[in-house]
Amino acid sequence: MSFASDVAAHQARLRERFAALEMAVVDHVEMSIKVGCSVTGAPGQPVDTGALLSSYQREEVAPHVTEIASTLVYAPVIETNERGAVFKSAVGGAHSIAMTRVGFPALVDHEAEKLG
Amino acid sequence: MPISHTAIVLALRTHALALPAIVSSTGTLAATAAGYTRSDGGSFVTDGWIEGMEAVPAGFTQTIPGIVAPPVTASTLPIVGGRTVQADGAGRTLSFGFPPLREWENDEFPPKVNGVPVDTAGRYYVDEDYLPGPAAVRTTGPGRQVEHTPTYVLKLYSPPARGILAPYALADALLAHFAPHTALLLSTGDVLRVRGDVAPYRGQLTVREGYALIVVTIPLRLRTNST
Repeated sequence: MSFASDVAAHQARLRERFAALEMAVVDHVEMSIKVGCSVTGAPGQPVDTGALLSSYQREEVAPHVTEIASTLVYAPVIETNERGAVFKSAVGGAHSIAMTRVGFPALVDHEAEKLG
Repeated sequence: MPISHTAIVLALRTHALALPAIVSSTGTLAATAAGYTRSDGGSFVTDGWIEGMEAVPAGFTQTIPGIVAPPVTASTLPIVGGRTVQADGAGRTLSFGFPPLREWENDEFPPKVNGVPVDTAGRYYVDEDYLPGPAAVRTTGPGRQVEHTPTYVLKLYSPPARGILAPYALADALLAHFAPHTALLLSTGDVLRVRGDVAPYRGQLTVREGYALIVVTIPLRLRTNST
């Protein structure tokens, strides 16, 4: 073993842990936006027909950049609880993306702690 | 003391209402069929008036605010739909700031005046959402501290097709007013702070049928003893 090989091994472990953390964070963000989360306080999407919930799709748009978005016209209306928003569901609510965003540091801490 | 979400919301409203006027003109002002004029040597342009702002009159007979139309000149401030004519008078004020129409959570909206709902078409108004958010225990033992992270959302509705300058000015002023680390003393003695790790932010201006909308999101933090 040399110093260089020790450093290389450490770098490999770091990369592995970073990849695991990244995957866990993305999963958690998706869960927070779609079904809610106690760490971020996001309520998740309201579910009437299920169209809104299933409309949120996840796509890796670049290395280390994942997009979770909906193309439904009324998705932003529900997200911001905008004028005219109608909630027909006993579950979910508005502002799930906003709550996920403001809760992101806590979300990352939570996942990092789980990884140990 | 357990957290009081009521105290938090009331403090947030008080702070929002204390937003200083973004633009204000005080002096010898008149109302005309086209809008407002001034004869006191002051300038509406210098004061900062631009198209799309909502001019809230004080000291005039007609107290309903009006939306500024182009072109603004030093001595004339056109208003969409015009004004009830009133001759020059001193000590009058026109101002643009936190909208006088507010949709506080679960209140009746639009409000009624003499039993008649106020017409909100073409008006600025603010709609609030208070999101209590999650909490976490931060210290242990007697008097342990619990950290709460609520979020305050202010939705700024403004007239459509009036450009970005006026609604942006209001959104920017609110962001500055709720700057990171701003501390608000609650009636309970707790101190609510605007977060800095996730600072307040605003969304893009979106235009719908009948209004334009900007959403301002204000992340907050409060630590209190849990007894």
